[in-house]
Amino acid sequence: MRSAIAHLDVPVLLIAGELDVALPPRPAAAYASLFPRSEFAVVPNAGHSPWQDDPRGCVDTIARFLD
Amino acid sequence: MSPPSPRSRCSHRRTSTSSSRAPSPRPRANRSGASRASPRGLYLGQFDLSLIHPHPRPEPERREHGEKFLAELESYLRTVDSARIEREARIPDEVFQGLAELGCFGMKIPVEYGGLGLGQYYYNHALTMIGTVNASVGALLSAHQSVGLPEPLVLAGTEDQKRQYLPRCATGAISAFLLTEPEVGSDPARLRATAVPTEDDSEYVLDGTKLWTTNGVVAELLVVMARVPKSDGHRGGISAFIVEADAPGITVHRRNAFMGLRGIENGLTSLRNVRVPRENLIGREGEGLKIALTTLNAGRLAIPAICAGAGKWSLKIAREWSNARVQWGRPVGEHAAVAHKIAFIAATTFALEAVVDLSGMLADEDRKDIRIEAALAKLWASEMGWRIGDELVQIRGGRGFETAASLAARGERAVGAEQALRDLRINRIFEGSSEIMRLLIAREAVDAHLKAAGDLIDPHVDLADKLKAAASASGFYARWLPQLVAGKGDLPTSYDEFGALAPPPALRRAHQPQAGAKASAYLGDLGGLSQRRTLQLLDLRGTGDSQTPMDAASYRVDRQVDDLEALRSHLGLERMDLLAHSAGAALALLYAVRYGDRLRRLVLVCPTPRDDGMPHSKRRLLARRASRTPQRRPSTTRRTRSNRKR
Ligand SMILES: Cc1cc2nc3c(=O)[nH]c(=O)nc-3n(C[C@H](O)[C@H](O)[C@H](O)COP(=O)(O)OP(=O)(O)OC[C@H]3O[C@@H](n4cnc5c(N)ncnc54)[C@H](O)[C@@H]3O)c2cc1C
Repeated sequence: MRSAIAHLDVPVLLIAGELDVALPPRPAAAYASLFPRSEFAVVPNAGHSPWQDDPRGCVDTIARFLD
Repeated sequence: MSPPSPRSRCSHRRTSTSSSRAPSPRPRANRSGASRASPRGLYLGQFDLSLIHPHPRPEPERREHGEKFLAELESYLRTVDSARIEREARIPDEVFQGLAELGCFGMKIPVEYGGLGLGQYYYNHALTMIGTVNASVGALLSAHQSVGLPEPLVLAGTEDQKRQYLPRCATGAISAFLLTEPEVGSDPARLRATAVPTEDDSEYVLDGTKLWTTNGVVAELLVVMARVPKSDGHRGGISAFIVEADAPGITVHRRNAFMGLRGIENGLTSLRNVRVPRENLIGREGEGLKIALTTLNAGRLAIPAICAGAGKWSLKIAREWSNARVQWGRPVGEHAAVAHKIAFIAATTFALEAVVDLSGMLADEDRKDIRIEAALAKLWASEMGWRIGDELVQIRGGRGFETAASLAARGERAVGAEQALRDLRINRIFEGSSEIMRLLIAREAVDAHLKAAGDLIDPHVDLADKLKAAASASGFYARWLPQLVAGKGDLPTSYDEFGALAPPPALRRAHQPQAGAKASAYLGDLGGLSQRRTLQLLDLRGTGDSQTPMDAASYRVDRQVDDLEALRSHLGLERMDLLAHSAGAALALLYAVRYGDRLRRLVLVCPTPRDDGMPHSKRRLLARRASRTPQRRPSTTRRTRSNRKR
């Protein structure tokens, strides 16, 4: 899987929650770096469901990536 | 109306005023033209919402008429002494008479033929009500109306036959259905009884032995299934005949006795040289089995109705007893194991009634062929009815095993839980055993394909027809396959009329008042995002209270990937954007790997991919965290174990 990801020619946005225990920012950043074309964003003060903790910030990030 | 028959057990005839209050029934639609029924659709990956939405309801005038009848029936049933039926192992004459006065023998018979014209829905309700009182009475009425003469006549009889026999049936000329023989039960196609046409073709001569004829001992009219030999001018085959029970040559050899349903009049009947006029053939020669099976389609619904009644009665007894009986200082209903049984009985009874009501109304609307619904309902209801009876006996403890009469003799309340169990047992056997129902249901499940491809396989079909068949089969599969992989529910606008879908738990939580402002901002923007039509939201469910376990996500993931790809092509998207959250990332990654060229952009929100996609750093983190946490549990265990050793 990891090697397959390394060749994935698709823009990837990975969003992490600053306080997410399932995937904290540091491993999340490492994870994002596995993709050749990735962007990484941390939602401050957010947990595993960042759109709940910072709806605007989270959705704006996604919208910017998709536009 | 025909004159009262001398053999009728019921002298009373229903007055004409009672029939005039009945609404005129709707004309019966052509059954063969009925469209596909819901379980068939389900087998094909289609959920036909029109079956339950809008939920069918009885028409107002039908409802008024039906409710009025049920109220009368209820007050009458209060006077029926069920214990006496059990004690004497027969239904007293005055009960036959009382039921006839109410019109119970013609509940389903159309008004123009002297019946109540209630339709299946209210007929079912009546049987449910009767099922709470005495199962033998239910069997008497359903053997007469669900499988006896009225149903096949309404389905396949000529106008003359209907005029001649239905009014008699409606007023209490009890009928019986004679199919089973000592040598043939589940496989009726091999039946041995014969019907030989006389030389002048004016009559048939019937010979044979029929076993377990419910109502056969007291019936005035019989439906007899017999085989007509093939000959010149006779296509032959198993055929259905109307036979007067007092015709010369008919003998009821004995009245059978059973584990339950002790009140039924079930006989062993022989026919020797019984002459039946040609006009008494129902339908055509060779149509007997088809008529019998079609009769059973709706006829089978009587069993779920009676089981629902037994469930209601069981629930009442279970509630009362588990409150009254105290053991270990508490009502037994407060002990978890007993509480579970009560919950099972309550929930299952609720479901039984829902199934009975829905199938009854579908039968009344007559827009669907309900044979699969009826088979499903019969199988499930009879199995569940038996389990309910068994659990009730358990809840009653020793008293569950004791007869009502014995309880009464000791001065206790006469509750016949054991009788209920015995009465329920037969439902798994007659009118198509559970094993046969399963075969029928399973066969229908594959049948859709066989039918579509049928002519292709049939060697007797010529090439032109085969080509035609191939064209229509490929049309069938062209429609069927996409529906299977990407059902209607996957299309964004399919269920718009139901309004917004319930948000996933995470969003629902965000929707709570304290987070109100935030949530609506988010939902608003989210709505904006999803309107791009290119974005698929994946597994937002993976958050919050109902966390999708990773295992569950991963074991389905392989199929879902292909579904997703089918969805993409179904939506006509050349490339699509995916957004995945939490465990949904596993699916998105697998899709990316397999169908990367069809993916435009990928958004992963707090992904928790499967092990094989998990970065090492995270594993290290977890390992570090695990080693830092004091291992209280294991050490405690160790200590306890060593303490014990000491
Ligand atoms: C109280 C009572 C009332 C009845 N009333 C009537 C009535 O009014 N009219 C009437 O015509 N008949 C009536 N019957 C007969 C009833 O419908 C039959 O008993 C029923 O059809 C089963 O037939 P059988 O008893 O001969 O069992 P069999 O067919 O001999 O079957 C024996 C067992 O084998 C199983 N079995 C058979 N074939 C298969 C298969 N292919 N695959 C898997 N398992 C299979 C059956 O499920 C059953 O468990 C009544 C029976 C009773 C007991």
